[in-house]
Amino acid sequence: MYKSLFAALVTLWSANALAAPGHQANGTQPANEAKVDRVIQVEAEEMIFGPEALTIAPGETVKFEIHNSGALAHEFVIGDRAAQEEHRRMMQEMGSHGHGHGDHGGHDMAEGEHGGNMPAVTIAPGETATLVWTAPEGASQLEYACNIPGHYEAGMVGQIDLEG
Amino acid sequence: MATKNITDLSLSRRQLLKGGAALGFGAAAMGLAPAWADPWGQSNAYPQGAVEGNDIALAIRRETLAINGRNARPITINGTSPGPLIRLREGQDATLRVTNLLDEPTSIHWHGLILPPAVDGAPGISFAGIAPGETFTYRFPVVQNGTYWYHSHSGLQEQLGHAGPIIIDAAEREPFRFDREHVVLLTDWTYEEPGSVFRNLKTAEGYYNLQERTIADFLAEVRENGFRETARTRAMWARMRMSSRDIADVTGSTYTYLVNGQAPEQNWTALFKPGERLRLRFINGSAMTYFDVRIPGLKMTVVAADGQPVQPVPVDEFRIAVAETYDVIVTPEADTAYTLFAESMDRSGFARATLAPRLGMEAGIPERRRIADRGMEAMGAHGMDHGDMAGMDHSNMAGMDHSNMAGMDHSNMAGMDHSNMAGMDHSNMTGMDHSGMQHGTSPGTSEGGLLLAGAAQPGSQYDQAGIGIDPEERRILVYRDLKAFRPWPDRREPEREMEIHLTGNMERYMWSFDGKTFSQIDGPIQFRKDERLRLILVNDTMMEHPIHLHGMWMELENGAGELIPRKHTINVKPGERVSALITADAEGSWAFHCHLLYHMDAGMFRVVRVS
Repeated sequence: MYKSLFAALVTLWSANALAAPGHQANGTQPANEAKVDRVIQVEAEEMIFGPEALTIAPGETVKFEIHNSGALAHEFVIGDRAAQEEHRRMMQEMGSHGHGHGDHGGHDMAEGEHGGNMPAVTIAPGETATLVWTAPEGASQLEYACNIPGHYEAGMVGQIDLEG
Repeated sequence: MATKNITDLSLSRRQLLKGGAALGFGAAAMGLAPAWADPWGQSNAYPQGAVEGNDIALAIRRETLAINGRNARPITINGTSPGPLIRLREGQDATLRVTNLLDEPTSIHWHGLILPPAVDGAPGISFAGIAPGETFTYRFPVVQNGTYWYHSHSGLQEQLGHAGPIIIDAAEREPFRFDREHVVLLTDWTYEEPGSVFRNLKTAEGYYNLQERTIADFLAEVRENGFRETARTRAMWARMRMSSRDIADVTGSTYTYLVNGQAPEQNWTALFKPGERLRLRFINGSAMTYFDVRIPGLKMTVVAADGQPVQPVPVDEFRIAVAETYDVIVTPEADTAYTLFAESMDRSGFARATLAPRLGMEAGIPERRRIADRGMEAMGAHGMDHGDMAGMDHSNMAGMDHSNMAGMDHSNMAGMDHSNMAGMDHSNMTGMDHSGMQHGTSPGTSEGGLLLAGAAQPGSQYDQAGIGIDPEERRILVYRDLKAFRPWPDRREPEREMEIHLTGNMERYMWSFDGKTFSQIDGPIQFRKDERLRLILVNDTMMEHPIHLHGMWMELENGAGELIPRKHTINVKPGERVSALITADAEGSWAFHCHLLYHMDAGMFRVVRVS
């Protein structure tokens, strides 16, 4: 039962990874690339993102280049505080199923589509991943976070100020 | 002669007071320290004051102080009990001058610190102890960071509050973030003299156990299980000379459980601003008490164990064995108070503090849990299959008294779980000291080499929180959760295994390793210099034992492969079999013992010689 859930999530993630992770649903990667306004480099390391906060104008299209210089896998997920919390709760529940029985307790669990349209990417240690994202209108504060169990709580969260 | 000694003592006392004040140390000077002056500053985290720097002076006295408003005679360090927070920095050379103003020898052991044997502070091993009136200077390079503690290693002095926290600030960024930190030092205080506590334990095991089963319990159990089953269970426990409610030797009937020296009624309070990430540095500096710690309303994310960083684990509760430390991160969002609740494992009492945005606030105290009953689950956890023990001669099992077990019908031991015992590998037991255990047959014996480094031993219970905790109720930290970020430097497979049994006779209050108390053994345990060793600990008793090795890390083989965590103190549950990898790189003689103070004093102590 658990195994199949895990498989389903991996499949979900693969599908998601192939599709553009952009927030305006099905925009294709090249189209997004074409109108990138800014490239922002983010360093992910245990248990901190650098920079720790960002200011992005509504409507601005940003290409994040996230480098994982730590020893563990991390995610980079954008969403409001409540969505991040919900995502975290799900990750924790998935993790607790496997609790004490092997190494798949959430840590290998890549980002799925749960939590709505949260743009997300998972970065293996030593790797760099990119994520193109257009800042929405009408939100004032979002977070970029890693919701692998414990990582957010230990400090892997940054604020995006959208009011300029 | 005697007069002269007294004169000398009072002289050095005066000198020290003068010297201490001039250097800015001692309780009187503490208010001047900038960090201490700021009520929100990190050093305010600990009410007994802090000392830091390259030259730290500590004065040990016995004096009359109030503990929970009542006259007490603790041992103080710079005027407080527990002692001041010692704050060091990774990479510095520490100099700590300890002056003994007691009328008996004393010592300070820096628990968990990797340092040369001469400054480890365990008297009679690589250090003579500190005579009355003498100042001993500990000098050592600080080669690690994290949360540790210090305590006397002389006699039963630790029970008198001769202990305090150590924080070593990291040279490089730690793998987590926090805005504020607080130290939470848990201790168990008794107004009795420790010597008399020990005598009471010796003369009447269960002396402090007011939770013995009553006739009412018996009748309730009869209603539930029927008379025959109940009577048989009781009789079995009686024959084994144990009470099923023996969770702790010394209990809340004599102990007042303290947080940073404050009783529950005094409600030590740690301040925060809502939304801040707080780092709480938990230290169990108790003599005898395990605590179950939680903060209702807050998730705690464990980020370090025994001073060493671990991959973060969000939990609702954790059990902290005597001498362990855990660092957790909490983020209280609301402008409200939270209760920090540390219930003693035997449920005979609790320590309590408050996290609050302002002084004077408090939250409710959680309902206490029922007294845990060792019952049959403890028997079941005992890593031996009694069903297959035909031909094993138990009469010589030193330490465990099975002499009255004749007639025990193992086939009816309902609820015994032997399912985890398959595949117990006894093939590597050659050359081990069985202390007279006659293995007529060795069930489950198989060919094969040593287990791979990091693999969990059959018979380990790393995924279990332990007695009296319901894992369904909330998320509890277990040893299986602890994972390092990166493999520790020595990744060699073990060359050799050494198995040590934790043994005891509860009724006579004898505690030992391999059935022999410290006074009965004739030499140290030998580690070869630089060898990679697997130490296997088998708990043949019905109690938890926190096992501490001085001078070297123990890498706990909890199944995390190369990411196994390293610890200075390992809790071994009743009947459990655990293992740790050790790199024997610290030449010299070191203490190895159960950190339950009265168990250590009773003989659960050995010297390890690395040569």
